[in-house]
Amino acid sequence: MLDLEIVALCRGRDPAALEAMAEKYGAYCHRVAANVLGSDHDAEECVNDAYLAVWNAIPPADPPRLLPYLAKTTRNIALHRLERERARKRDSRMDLVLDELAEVLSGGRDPADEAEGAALMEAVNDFLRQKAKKTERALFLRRYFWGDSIGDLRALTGFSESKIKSQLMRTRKRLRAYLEERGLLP
Amino acid sequence: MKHEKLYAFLDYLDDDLVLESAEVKKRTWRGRLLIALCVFVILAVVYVASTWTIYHPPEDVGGTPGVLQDGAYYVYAGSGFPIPGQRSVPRGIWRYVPGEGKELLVDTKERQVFSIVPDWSMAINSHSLYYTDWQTLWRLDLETREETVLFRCGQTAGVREEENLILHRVEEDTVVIQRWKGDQAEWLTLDSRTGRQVRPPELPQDTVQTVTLSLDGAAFALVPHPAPADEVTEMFGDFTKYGGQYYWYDLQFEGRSLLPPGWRTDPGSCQDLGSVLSVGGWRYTGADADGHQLSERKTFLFDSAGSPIPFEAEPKEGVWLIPLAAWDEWLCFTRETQRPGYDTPASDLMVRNIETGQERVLLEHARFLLVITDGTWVYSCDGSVTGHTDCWRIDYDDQGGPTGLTLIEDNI
Repeated sequence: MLDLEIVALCRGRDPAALEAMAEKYGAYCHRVAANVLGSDHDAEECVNDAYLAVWNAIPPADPPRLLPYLAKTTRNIALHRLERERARKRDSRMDLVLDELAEVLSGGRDPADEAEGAALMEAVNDFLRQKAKKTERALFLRRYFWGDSIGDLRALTGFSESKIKSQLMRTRKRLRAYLEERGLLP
Repeated sequence: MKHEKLYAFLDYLDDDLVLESAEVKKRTWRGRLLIALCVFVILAVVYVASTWTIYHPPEDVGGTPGVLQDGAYYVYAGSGFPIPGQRSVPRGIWRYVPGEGKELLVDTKERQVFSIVPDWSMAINSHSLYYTDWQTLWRLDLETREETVLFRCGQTAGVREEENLILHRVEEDTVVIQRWKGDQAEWLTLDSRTGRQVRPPELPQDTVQTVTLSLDGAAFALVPHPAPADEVTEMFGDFTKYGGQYYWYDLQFEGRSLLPPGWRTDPGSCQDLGSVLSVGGWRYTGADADGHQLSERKTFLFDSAGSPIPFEAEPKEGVWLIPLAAWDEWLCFTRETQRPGYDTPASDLMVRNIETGQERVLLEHARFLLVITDGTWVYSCDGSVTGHTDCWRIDYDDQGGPTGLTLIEDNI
């Protein structure tokens, strides 16, 4: 089923939209949720919440492409669930992943407001589009957006663990230098 | 930065980038195996294709048989595409003169001259060399080295794509070509110097299959045949039936059958050896005790008058005779003798006087596949464009009998 058709079902308040989303994008959503939460069971609940959230959000939301919208929604729901359990899961894998990225993006301080954060992420997008090679870009996004573990990335790319780690580290360094050049980081 | 804010900021990641990363597929050993298999198949196809059709040319003239005229040897060489970095002779027709070496006579790099069957695409007489790319017939004057177009398909009909030609026979004053229009053929006889048609096109007769043979007057004629037995029809299967009457193609010379009664042959089994025609024949000999249908095969030789030459080519007491070439009254052949304890037979190059039957060894321990000779020079080759050709001189005694071969140059 086309994305447009699924969105149309959502607009018509047709529950068939939930089945269509699950059939077409269930595997993607489950993976991103499981990567964040580290549990298939929790991921399943999270994904169902995400379908419902998307179904409720449309309308008024009108996503031009459904997968990124659904993936971001799933991811956010998973991350919020993780936050709730943070006290006892402080050392979860996703925390470690986010720590890696936070070190690059924050430079020790938080963006002053939403606008500053948006500008920062726009620069991240530019860096990924213009400065990163396709493999670099894939590794970066699979790690920091989708939350893939190093083992997942090994299976996905066929690279060795050390190569993946050093590649990610180089990309983070280059990204930091890129952001500093533009005055977005102190 | 707190994780909560980071979550929010990651929502600003570009949708295109998210989509692209979502499509990264997991590599599996099956996928890698498939890629390796594809690479292997591609390499195998390239290897086989390069063996069959892309022929990597050697630096010498290769092993394609050429033609001899007035002591010079003319041969196609350099067919195919060289491997990058590989040295090779330019593609074309080469002229080799013993003691002088070779020179490129006609560069065919830009022409699709098909050199694999030189009998159909190259011929020579005392004044000119003729060659064709199947649609154009060129003439090269051997004295002035001037090249002219003797005939081009479609000149009159204007439908060049549907016409092809092959060289049929070259004589001093005429060149006979076979022109094909679709599946219809006709013979054109051209002036060997001007290309002017010297007589009207001749259409093939349904009852005659003309073959390219040095033996003037030899042709396959469709003649009536008694109703063959079922087993004969099953074994040979080349009878034609018109109105209840059976016919077959009989090799005839001046209207009489060349082969004894019951023996059959076809154009592909006839070989021009120079002054001798070699004919591979077969006949039905009945069934064995188990009901298997049997046939006998034999090589027949005929001189220029169509008279049979006694020659037992078939294996006899561990000896095989393989006719290769002939000039004047001399027949050159290979004699292979089975050796106990060896996988391969002993092989000598022999010569026999077809009038007296006198035999001599020309070269011991020689295994020649193809021989082109004019009675003075011998060129031995293996028929392959990537093979080799050697040049020899025939030594004679005081009585004019050949006594041996002297190697002039190998891999010319």
